[in-house]
Amino acid sequence: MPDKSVIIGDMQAILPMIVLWVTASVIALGDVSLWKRGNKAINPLLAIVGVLVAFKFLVNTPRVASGATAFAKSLAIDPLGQISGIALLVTAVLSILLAWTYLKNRGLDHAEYYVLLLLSLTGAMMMASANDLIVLFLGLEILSFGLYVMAGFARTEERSEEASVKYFLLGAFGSAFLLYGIALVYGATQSTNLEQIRATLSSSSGAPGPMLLAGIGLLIVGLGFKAAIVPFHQWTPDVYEGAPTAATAYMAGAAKIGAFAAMLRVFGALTPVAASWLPAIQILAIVTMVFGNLLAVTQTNVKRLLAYSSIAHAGYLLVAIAALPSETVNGIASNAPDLAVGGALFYLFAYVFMTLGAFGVLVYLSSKGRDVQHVNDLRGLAKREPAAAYAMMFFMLSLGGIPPTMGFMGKWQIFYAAVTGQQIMLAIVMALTSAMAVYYYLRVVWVMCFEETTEAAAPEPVARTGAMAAIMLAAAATIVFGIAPNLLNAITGMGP
Amino acid sequence: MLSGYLPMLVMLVLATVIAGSMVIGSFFLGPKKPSRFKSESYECGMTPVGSARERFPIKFYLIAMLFIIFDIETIFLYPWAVTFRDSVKSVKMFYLAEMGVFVLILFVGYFYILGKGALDWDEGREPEPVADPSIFKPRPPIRFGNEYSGPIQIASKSESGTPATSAAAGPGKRL
Repeated sequence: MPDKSVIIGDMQAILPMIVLWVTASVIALGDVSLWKRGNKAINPLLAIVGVLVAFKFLVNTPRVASGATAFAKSLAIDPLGQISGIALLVTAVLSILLAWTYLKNRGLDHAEYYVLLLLSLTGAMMMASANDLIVLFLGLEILSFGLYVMAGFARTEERSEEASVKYFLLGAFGSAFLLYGIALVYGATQSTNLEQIRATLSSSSGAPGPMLLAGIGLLIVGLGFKAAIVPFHQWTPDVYEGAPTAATAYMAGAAKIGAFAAMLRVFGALTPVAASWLPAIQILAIVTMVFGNLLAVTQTNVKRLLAYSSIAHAGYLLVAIAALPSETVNGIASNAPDLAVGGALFYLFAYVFMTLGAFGVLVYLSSKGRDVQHVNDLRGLAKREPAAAYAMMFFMLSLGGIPPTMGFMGKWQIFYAAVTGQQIMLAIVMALTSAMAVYYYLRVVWVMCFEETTEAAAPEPVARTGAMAAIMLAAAATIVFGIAPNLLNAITGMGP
Repeated sequence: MLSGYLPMLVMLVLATVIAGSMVIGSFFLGPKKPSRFKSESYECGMTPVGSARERFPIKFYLIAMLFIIFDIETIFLYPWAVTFRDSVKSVKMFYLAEMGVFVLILFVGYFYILGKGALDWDEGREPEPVADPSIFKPRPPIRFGNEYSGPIQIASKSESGTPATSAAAGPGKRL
């Protein structure tokens, strides 16, 4: 019999995930029995309650500096997992609010959406606290399966179907690459446990063998697929465009947080052989920043624009990863790794608030007959819907990294980590491409404020409360944490 | 080091020999009476040639898909049962609780599909009103490869290339 305290400790570690699963099950079962013909608003309400309870449990989990694990060292109980878990739950609350409005207005109001969202959230949280490559893969798959279906949730629309199939096929390839990488790394280090891998790598001397190199390469490809890094980004614009906007918002947030939390863990464990993978990450970061921003410039569809913008943001986050191995700079111990992890987490929060806010404005404007996603749909918005237009302008400024918004603080933190970690080249590219990005973000603002609408008035959406709440939450967070970034650190318990 | 794989090699050789001898033996010994339906390529009972956009009953696929899921989950019970029987008494409660959780997850899925009506074949459900009446127009019937049960006549090459259909009068005789 395993020790009772061990079982209790294990259960405590996954308590937020259990809560999410139970909520998903209650919604799924209740929707086919108790409130089969009743008010469907109970589904998003229950989902939000579940996420909040999970949040409560996650915050209450005792904070251990590091090294605490559960389930025979396969799950880590550490700040990285807990803070990215908080970011994921925030994403979930915002996307449930958005979905509430969007699904109702588009006539897609089915309980399955919330069930899938909560289940894939469970996977993302597992991925964020995985201390073992197999658990990481498992979490990734649970996350992805939900997203594949959510992308095709508007199943009568061809675009949505296309997005779903495309995402599924390419995602399956990405998973296969990742799994192959895990197998090769296991072959080279005799372990799938990240701590164990790190210990093995730091104790062995000499250059890493070809098996390890191939394994690391495949891990980069697999995780790069999920995080939408150039040149593995091709699915992103199509899937973001085709999926229902609320699902796109969730996908943009949860998949990115899960993938980057996993990357921080994996590359943290691979630090002893950093010389072999750092050049690859540096090149990928530069290529991602440049191409993500360049391709976004020509987009006329706001969802595609935000997709390329999310690719560019993935590039900025890669800069943080490149600063991870700088444990010593010129022979002196450096705090660059801590800064990189902290900066990446802060940036993920900022990314979630501003990206979900921007998608939220699109959701806010969409109705049954009219799915707002083209730039032209936003023409003259400042006159028609001033509140939505100003919110959108605010999110665009934040995405562009203009102070005093959260986007600026996030970029600044990553920039600082990169400079501390002697990644000067990456810092320069990051600053230049951020300046380039301001062009296409401000073009949206220009269209909203200075161009006249030519269209007839669209039918009023049925419900707007959820999206309005989400936009307000996101906008408030963007400005408050932009002015007082330490507040976020105090709330989530992250930072130095 | 590789000696542990010897049984596998033996298994491989045995499987190859047995399966190979069956195929070769039936090829040489079996009587050959080819017919049109026999020589058609086989694709899960569907007619292999024709438009891919035919209407076909989707219920079977749904049931089959759900069956596979629950089948695989049920198979997991067998190794568990063997381990459970042989395990020491102190861990039995723990094992039982773990299987309880597993079955609980299984049952959530089961009751969900039950409530969703995925296992209803036809009974008790009103047909849904159809918006587009054009789908009721006559359309070529759905054929399965084994529908025709009348006497089989082999098409002779001389008859202008079309298959001989004069003798066939069964209900499934449509090509």
